[in-house]
Parts: sequence; structure tokens; C-alpha cells
Amino acid sequence: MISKILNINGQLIFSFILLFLVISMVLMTGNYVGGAKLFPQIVGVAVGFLIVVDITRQILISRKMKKTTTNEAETKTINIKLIIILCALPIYYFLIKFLGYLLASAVVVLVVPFLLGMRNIKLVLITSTIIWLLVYLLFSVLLNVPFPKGVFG
Amino acid sequence: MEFLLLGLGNVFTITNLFFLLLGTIIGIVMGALPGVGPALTIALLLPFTFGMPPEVTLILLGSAFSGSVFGGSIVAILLNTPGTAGNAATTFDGHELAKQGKAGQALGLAAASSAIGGIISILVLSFFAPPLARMSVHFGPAEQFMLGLLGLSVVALAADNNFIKGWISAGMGLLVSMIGLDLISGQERFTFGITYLTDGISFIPTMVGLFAISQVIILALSGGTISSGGNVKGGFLKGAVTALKYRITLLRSSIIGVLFGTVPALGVYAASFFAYLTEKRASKEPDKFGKGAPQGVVAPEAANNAVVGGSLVPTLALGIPGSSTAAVLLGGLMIAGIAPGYRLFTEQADMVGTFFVAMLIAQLAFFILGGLLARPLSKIVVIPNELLVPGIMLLGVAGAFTMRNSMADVIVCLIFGVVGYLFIKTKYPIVCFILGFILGPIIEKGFQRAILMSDGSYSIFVTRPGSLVLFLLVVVMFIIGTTNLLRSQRKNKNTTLDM
Repeated sequence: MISKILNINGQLIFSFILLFLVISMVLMTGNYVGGAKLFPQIVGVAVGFLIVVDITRQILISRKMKKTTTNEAETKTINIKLIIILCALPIYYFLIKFLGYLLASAVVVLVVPFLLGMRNIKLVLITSTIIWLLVYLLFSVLLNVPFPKGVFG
Repeated sequence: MEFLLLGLGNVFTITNLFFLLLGTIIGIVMGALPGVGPALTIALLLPFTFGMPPEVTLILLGSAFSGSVFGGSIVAILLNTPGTAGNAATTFDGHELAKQGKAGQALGLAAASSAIGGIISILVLSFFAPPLARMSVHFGPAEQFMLGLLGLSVVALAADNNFIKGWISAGMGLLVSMIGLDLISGQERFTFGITYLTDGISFIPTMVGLFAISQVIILALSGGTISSGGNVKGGFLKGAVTALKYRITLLRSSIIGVLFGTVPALGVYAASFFAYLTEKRASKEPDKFGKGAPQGVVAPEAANNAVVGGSLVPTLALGIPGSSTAAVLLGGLMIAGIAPGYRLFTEQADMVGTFFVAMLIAQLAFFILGGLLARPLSKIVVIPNELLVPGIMLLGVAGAFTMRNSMADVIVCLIFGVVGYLFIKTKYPIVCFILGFILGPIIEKGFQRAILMSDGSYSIFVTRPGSLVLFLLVVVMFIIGTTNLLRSQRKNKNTTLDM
């Protein structure tokens, strides 16, 4: 039940973010002229209306649920793996800029499994090497993709 | 018919069969790499064809084209990462089957459906190219607008019971598709002064993000392996035989693929999504879609490979490429000495025949190769997720970058990865977002151009016969969609009350 409430709250926050985005986009269309503003305005207003309906529905549901769970202690658990992976994505991007794609990818395939809890070093080394070699051979050698080379390039 | 016989004679030599196999293998490998796709595959092969005999060029390019479309389904099924844009709809049920330990079966379904879709489309191309090409010429902006709306009418179905969220998702997709230069007036919209955004949000990085990167987050959180049972059940042949049982699905989806391919600018992704959702609408058990329904693999795979033949209809008969891939291929064909036009099928019959027969045999070649590769490839789903996560990250980022060699595309890919994950967590259907994103430019461009053509009169949408037929279809589809939805909601309510 608690997770359900948290989920609904998460949904509400996301819905409000979407509403903010849509309102901003509709307001921006004021600067456009002719046909360029027609579609964004129609779609924006329609989507904004639907989001408001959805938010109202979610609030009503969450109120009903809260009434039935007032005695339960609410605890929030932070998912460490979620934080790790959400941090890993931008870090990977900046590593590519700094070290270049191939070196950054080598770091990622070696480090991420450990961060996610894999402790079999032999397995990590073998699979990481295979994955890295595969990507290197296919993209860099075969397709000759000019990946960023970073500061060592 | 005669030109096919002439082609048969040309293809069946050891050298030509070797290049056919080579082209198919290259196609499968390239197609399996996210972001590469058929257009880039053919573009990369073109320099190697200089100096080759014309028939070898045709065989190599034709087989690579067919192989690459199938190749994309392999990673779509195994890793939930569509290799090409046309395989995105395959992930919904293909990857679900892989999760159930039926990866081999899913690959069999995909290979057989792709092959049959491809064969049907090439036969249609062989016999009906000139009349179909003439029809596609009459397909103007008003019809494109209506066809886009027809595509949107399936949102209610794609959203299952999340009707409001489905339309919000589709609307967000439409809004995102409007980022960049306005297609008619050239005004910048929602670009915030960022030069990169003037070109709009690129399709491939968005797809890779929504599917592959969001999958990275989900796999990292879930741990274990993709296959919940930890083992891989069911073989390739079983899947292929299952696909053959869905004859109506195969035929319907192939026709959708051919028709969508014939109309320039509609694209393979629109065809595969439309085929998937049409199948869901036609099914007696639509609830099984998205949970590993075989038709959910058969429909998009038959459609996306049928687009190949369809897109070649205006390409060969009129010299108007039906897709970006067809445009690159047209270049290759012209280098090989094929001049497109109505007289192509009579004046250069042997060359056209060689190309068509090569493509027909390529369907069988990738089916056989798929069968050989299915067992070892299926093992991917029992690799621990902790090891797969960085692998998919590398592939996804490389795929997003490869399209335009742009790090900005990588940023788009990563952002849409997180957005995709949030959509999944908050139950906003991603499929609706993609529908809106794909159909947005078709609808807006069609509408604006039609209004320009008619000097501002909206009557153009009902005075042109094609547009009127599509308009009536749109109305019927919206009514059916809403009625079905209300009926299913009432049914759900009654079931809940009974409980």
C-alpha cells in the first residue's frame, strides 16, 4: 500500500512537470506567426487539459488511499542502484568527452558491473573484454566511426 | 514474369551466390547495430561496388538491404534495443518472449515473418509496381494528413486502459516532433536558441534512448537475468512454424507494409507500429499484446520487411525514392546502370530480374542464417544483467553517435533514456509517445501543404476522393476505438464489482 501511495505521488510530480512543460510550450507559441503556431497551440492546449484531468484524478485516488493507510508508518527507501545508474549515464558522457569513447567505454564496462554488485572478477574481465572488442571492431574498425578521442587523442 | 526468369539465371552462379550470402551477413550484422540501419549499410557498401559487375552490385545491395531489416529484430528481441527504427514495435512482445525464456522462438517468429513479408512485397513489386506507383503520385498532402490522423486513431488501443495517459503521451510526442524549424514557414520553434535543435529531435537517438537506455536502468534495478526462468526454452523452428499459423496476420501486415512503403515519407516505423496496433485491434485477445503474443512479433516484422518492396515501387517505377534507404539504393542502382522509369521493366528486364531474385533469395538466406545464429544468440538472455547493462550502454551510445557523428545526439539519447524510464514508471505508454513523434511531421506537413494548395480552404480534405475515404475511415476508427474502450472499462468495472 505504501509503495502504491509513493508511486502515485511520483506520478503526480511527473504529471506536474509535464504540465509545466506543456504550458511553457503553449506560451512560447505566442511569438510564432501563421501556420507555425496553429498545431503546437491546438496540441498543447488539448494535452494541458488532459494533464489537468489526470492530475485531478490522481489526487482523488491518493486521498482515498491515504484515508485507508493513516495508521501505517510511511518509510521511503532510496534505491542505491537507481542512483548509481542515473549517475553513471552523465558520467559516461563526460568521460567520453574527456577520455574519448573507447577509453571511457573500457572504464564503464569494467566499473559498472562492480558498482551494480557483480563480484566475479574473472567473469567481469572476460565479458567486458568481449563487449569492448565487439564494439571496437564493429564501430571503429568496420564502420570507421570517428568517435571522440578525448585529451589523449 | 519473364524478367524474374532472366534474373534466376543471373543469380545462380557460385560468385553471385557468394556475394548474396556476404551481403546478407553484412546486412544482418549492420542491422543489429543500433543506429546503423539499412540506409547507412548500403551507403557504406556503395564504394566497394565500384568496378564490380552490375549484377554483383545489385545482388550485394539487395541482399544487404533485406538482411539489415531482419538484423534489427535480433537486438530488439534479445536486448529490447531496436537495431533499426522499424524494429521498435517488435520489442513490445519479442522482448517479453525473451524474458519468458523463449528468445529462440521469438527469433524464429521474426525471421519467418520478415522473410514472408519480404517475399510478398517483392512479388507485389514485380507484378504491380507501375499501377502502384501511379497511385502513389495521387497521394497528396491532404491524404498524408488523413493517413497521419488514421495512425493517431489507434492511440486509444495502444494505451490499453490508460486512455487519458495514452493521449497525453501521444500529445507529448507530437509536441516534441514540432521542435525545430517549421516545415513550411521556416520559423524556429522551441529551440531556445540552440543550433542543434533547429534540425529537430533526431529519430534514431530518441528511439535508442527510449528503448535501450531506459532498459539499462530497468535491468540495473532488477538484477538477475533477462530470462526470468534462467533458461532458454523453445527453438527457432518452433517459432517459424508458429508464425506460419498466423496467415491472416502475415498477409494483412505485409499489405500494410507495402502500402506504407509505396507512399513516400511515411516510413518503416509508421508501418510497423500501424501493423502492430491493427493486429491488436483485430485480435480476440488484445490483452495478451505486450505480454509475449506471437502476433505482436509477426505483425511488425512482416510489415517492416514488406516496406522494403513497397518503398522500391516509386523508386524504380518513377525514380522517386520511397524512403531514405531507397534513395541511397537508387544511387547504387544507377551506378550499376539501372535507370528508373516506367520502361525499366521492359528495357532492362534482366537487371531488374537479377535484383528482385537476389532479394527473394536473400529472404531465405537470412532465415537460414537466423536459424543458425538463434541458439548461440539466445544465450544472451541468461547473462547476468550487471554485465549486460554496460554492454547495452556502449551499444546504445555508439548507435546514437554513429548516425551523425554528434555528441549532441548522445545527450538526446541519454535524456530520452531517463524520460523513457519515467514514462514506464508512471505508466505513460511509450508506444503512444512514439506514435505522436512519428506521425507529428506527417500530420502537420500534410495539413499545412494541403491548406496552401487549396488557398486556405479546408474543403480539400473532403473533396479529394482519397482524402474523403481516409477521412471517413478516421471517423469510423475513432468511434470504434472509443466504443471499445468504454465497453472494456464497463466490463472491468463489472468484473471488479463481481469480485
